[in-house]
Order: sequence, then structure tokens, then C-alpha cells
Amino acid sequence: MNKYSVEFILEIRDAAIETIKNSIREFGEDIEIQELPGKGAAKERSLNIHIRTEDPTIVFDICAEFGRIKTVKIH
Amino acid sequence: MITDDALQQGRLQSLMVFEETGMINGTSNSDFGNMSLVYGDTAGALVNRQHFLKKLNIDYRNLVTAEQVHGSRVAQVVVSDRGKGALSYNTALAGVDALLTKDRNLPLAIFSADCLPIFLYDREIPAIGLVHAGWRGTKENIVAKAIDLMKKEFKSKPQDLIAGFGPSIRECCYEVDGEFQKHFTYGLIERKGSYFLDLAGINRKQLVSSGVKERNIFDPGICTFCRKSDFFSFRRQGISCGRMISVIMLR
Repeated sequence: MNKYSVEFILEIRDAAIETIKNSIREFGEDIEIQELPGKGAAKERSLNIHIRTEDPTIVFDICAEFGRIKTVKIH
Repeated sequence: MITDDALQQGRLQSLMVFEETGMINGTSNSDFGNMSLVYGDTAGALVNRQHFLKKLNIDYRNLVTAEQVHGSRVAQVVVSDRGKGALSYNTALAGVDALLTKDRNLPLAIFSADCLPIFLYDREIPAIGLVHAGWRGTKENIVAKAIDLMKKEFKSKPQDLIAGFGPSIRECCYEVDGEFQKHFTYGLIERKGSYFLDLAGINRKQLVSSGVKERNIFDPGICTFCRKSDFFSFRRQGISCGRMISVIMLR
């Protein structure tokens, strides 16, 4: 049973949602990734990511390869 | 085809076994550092991958990699697999030693130190494959299994296939136990009472038996054991040595 419910915003430029999902899939369950409405012509896209995991650190390490992590909530 | 000379002259960033407009392939040399997330100095591996793959215009986060268990299972990879194994070994395709795809812009990678990386390219379909052939995989005829799956899934014809060998330990240096006679009926060379395995030679025969034309097999003949300053070698450096990356992608 995965201990932590982790939710955060990931700001990305050029990555595909499927790729991010494939990268963290093994480290948890109930993965949901939703794209948040963009701000005008901004190149960056914001994703809201949820995962239940034993190891939030590895999820953050991997997601940091795709962009900037913001607004982290861990329950 | 880019030859060994090119590698020697410019410390070429990637050893391309064959050069085609429709796809890109290459193997890093040890100057680029360790590429494995499991063996050797793993701390810098992602940065090393990023640095090397950028030269080939490949996003390191998109790689699809295999678990590499020295078996002979082959997986067909599709675009929804993008990124599996790119950032952690746990997400690599489990139980697999060879990857095939006909999807474009989907980079396949394997990691090796002495094992033989085999690139496969079907210009007609088009489709690509990448095989990790150590002695165990070779014993199980992994390259033939990869070609069988290309025939089945992609309708590839072996006579259309181009095959290329990356750097590996060669028959000059690959000393093995006499017991290997049980595993291989050919490809064992006896010299002064010792046995040497011709991994590339055996795979060449397996390719030809599968219908690949001799003239379509490109073998730069590079030995990872001999070339101390260019490549990592498991036999020379032990299990904790770094690994090179071999990568192939359809454009």
C-alpha cells in the first residue's frame, strides 16, 4: 500500500504527458495528470500531477527532469 | 557508413554503424562517460545521456530501454511506450533484450560494455530494431528472434534488412571456458589450448541464416577490450565499469 498521496504542479516546455506518465508509473499508483489552462502565449505548460507513492523523492527527482515543480501537497 | 577512422580522428561523438537519411544510430564512446543507471558511476549518467543524445538531436527523456536480462525476449515498442526506462531502470521494459519499432521519433536504446549491440534497419517498411547480444542471448539466437518478430509484426523481408554491429569484445580477446563447446557448434576459436568466442562472427552467421544478405551486414570490427582509451570493457574493468549507450531512431 502506497503511503503518500502526492500532488504537485509541474511546469514543462516540451515534454509529452505520456512520457512523464511512463517515467513515474513504476513508482506509484492512481496516477492522474491534467493539463491546466495556459496563460496566453506562454511557452510553458502547467500540469497537475497526482500519484500515490511510497517514495515521493524519486517522483520529484524524475519529474524535475521535465520541468519545474511547484505547489507540492503531500498527505 | 562511418568507419573506425572517423572515430579515431575526431574522437567522434558517436560511432554510426551505417548512415541513412531515414534514421539515426550510434554508440557512445567512453569519453561521454557512463550511460547506465545501474552499473558504474551512475550519478552522472542522466547528464551524460543528455549530452551525448543532444548531438544526435534525441531527447534523452524519450528513450525506450530494455531491462537486459541476457535472455532472448524481443519487444515491439510503440509510441505510447515513450520514456520507459529513460530516467530510471525500474521503468525499462521488463525481461527484454531486444527492441523493435516502426514508429518515428521513438528512440530505442541498449547499454553495453562488451556485449554486442546489433542495429537492424528495414528501409522498405520502414522499421528498426536494436538487439543486446551477449553470449547467452547469442546462444538463444536472439537476433533471429528479432528478425522473426519484424517479419511477423512489420512484414519485413530479411533480404531488405540492413544490420550493423556496434563495438563489442572480439575473438582476439574473448577467452572463454572449454565448456562453451556445449553451447556453440561454431564460432569458438582454439589458440594454444585456450578458447576464444567470436560473438560477432556467430551473430553474422545467424543473420545470414535468417535471410539477411552478407553485403547488408556492416561490421566495423571494433574490440572494446583492445581499445582501452575509447570504450568500457566488462572483461577488462569488471562489473562496476561504465556502459556505452547504443541508440537507434527512425526519423
